[in-house]
Amino acid sequence: MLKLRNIELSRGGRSVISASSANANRGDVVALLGPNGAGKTTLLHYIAGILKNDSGDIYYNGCKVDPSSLDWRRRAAYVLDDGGIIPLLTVEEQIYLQSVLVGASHPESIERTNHVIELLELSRYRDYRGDELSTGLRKRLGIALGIVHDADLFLFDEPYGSLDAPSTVVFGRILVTLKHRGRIVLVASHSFPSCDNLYNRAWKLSAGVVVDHSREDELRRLLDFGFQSGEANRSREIDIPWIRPST
Amino acid sequence: MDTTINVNSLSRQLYKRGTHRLLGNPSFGSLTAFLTALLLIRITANVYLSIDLWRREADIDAVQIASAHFVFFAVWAVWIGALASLRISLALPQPSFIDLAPHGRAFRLRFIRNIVLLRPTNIGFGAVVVLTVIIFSTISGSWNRIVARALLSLLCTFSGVILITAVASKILKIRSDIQILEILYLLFLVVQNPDVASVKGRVCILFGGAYYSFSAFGQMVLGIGLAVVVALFVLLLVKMLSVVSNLFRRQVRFSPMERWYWRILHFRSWLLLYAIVGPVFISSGIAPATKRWTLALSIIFGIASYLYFIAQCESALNEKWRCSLFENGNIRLIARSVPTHIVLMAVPVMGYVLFC
Repeated sequence: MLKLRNIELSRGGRSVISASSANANRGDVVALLGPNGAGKTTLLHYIAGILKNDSGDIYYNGCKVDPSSLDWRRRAAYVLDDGGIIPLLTVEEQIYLQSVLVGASHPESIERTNHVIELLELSRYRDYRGDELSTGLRKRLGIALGIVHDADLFLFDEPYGSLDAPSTVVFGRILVTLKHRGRIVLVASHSFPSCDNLYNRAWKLSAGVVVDHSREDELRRLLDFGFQSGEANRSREIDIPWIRPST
Repeated sequence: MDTTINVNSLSRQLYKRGTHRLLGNPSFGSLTAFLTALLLIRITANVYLSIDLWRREADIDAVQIASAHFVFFAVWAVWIGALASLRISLALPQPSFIDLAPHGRAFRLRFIRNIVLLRPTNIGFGAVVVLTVIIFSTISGSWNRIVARALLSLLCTFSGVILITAVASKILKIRSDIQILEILYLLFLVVQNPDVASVKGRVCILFGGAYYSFSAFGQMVLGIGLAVVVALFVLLLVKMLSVVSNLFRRQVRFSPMERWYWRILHFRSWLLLYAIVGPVFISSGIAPATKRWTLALSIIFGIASYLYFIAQCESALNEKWRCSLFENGNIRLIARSVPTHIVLMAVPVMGYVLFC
């Protein structure tokens, strides 16, 4: 279980995030909601260890974690808004490199790379360099870089922006898979597609203040789409062999 | 998938595809290359002159000349090496998936190491030191003192690079800022004007018209140590100035083009220029010709920097908004930055008139 307790973040003397209590359980897909400038990316940056907080702590499975530690980076996969890709490496090279950097062996990395390229329909673009990709393709590559990591926690920043309809469906199926395999997923966006009714928790940010919502009626109001049980979504799962169900 | 792919090859691929060339502004890069070439030509000419005089059986103080070169190279390498490796580390986007991956830092270090080892300037530095040892050992007839000093200067260089890189990585985050520091430091080395001359009947090397004896190890260590301290001081000065200029920018009302001007041409780069040319003008031990060259270089810097500002604005306006500074009377928008720039450029001129 992921817990945020009394988190305060400020920049230039101004408070940008204030989260007294926010939780996420295994298998939760959490929608980080809020208008532009509400602090969604800042909060993800903090959880991923890119930014430091002024006070407060993160707990994972009851233990306090240091977000900038190597151990936490092993546990958390973060897909940045722009994908965080390297302009001069090809799609294939970037996915392979990420796979190696997250600890997979050479043959395993090659296998993961091929699998993810097929999954996100990047085969035509495997030899394209990062700086030759369109915004939507960069987004798909970013998602590919995120899911080659067998992490406990997945953070996606604005994954829906620039994604075409088929890719949005694939991304939804990835989220279903991660959910059913017991991972915690945080997705930050200011708009969620109505087809993705798999969110079972929402952290609403308003002027930096985080409010945790998990009741069905609250989610219906916030997300404007139906709340479905895990079983109803199970048929949408896809094959990601290295992400095994959590024990 | 190509099965020959591996992490080492990817690091080399980044170098081959020119990631290290994305390190900053190409015009600044060309200026840095020009100043480096100028220094190398000056040193090569001195070495040639020394060999020529030795063949005519003149009394050459080979140990002093070699030691002076070692200090000079070490001072150059400490600063440029530290700043270059910092710029290389910024060549990969931050944050990227590499920073967020568990073994990402190791890959970043491997990438820096590969490029540093492959950079012609860094390979050239080692080669020049070895060459200097060979030439001046032959001239002096003994090698042990020269080799000991070369090793000492290399040791000081490596420790200095590590120390300055550690400090600079906490302070500098912008590639063009780092390039400006590199250029200013190279200008400082150029105005040192290393020159072969005869002192008390022995041929030795002078810096800025002054003779430095390198008879003791301590003096050489002092020279390199001083360079490290000066470099650290400059870095701290940059940090302090950026804090002050941030406060200043927040409080004073500027037009958008003035804001743009100050964001492209930082005030701290001017203050650094003054910090470098000031001592040259004030010092009585520096030749008038060197002072005139310093003034000329600072004027060139002023003109080039304004042209750079105009080029940056024009390129951004063309690319983003498809308009130009040179149409529809838009040129008036930069009018307020012209007197500011002239005042900033006039400071070295006034310094020259007052002190020289």
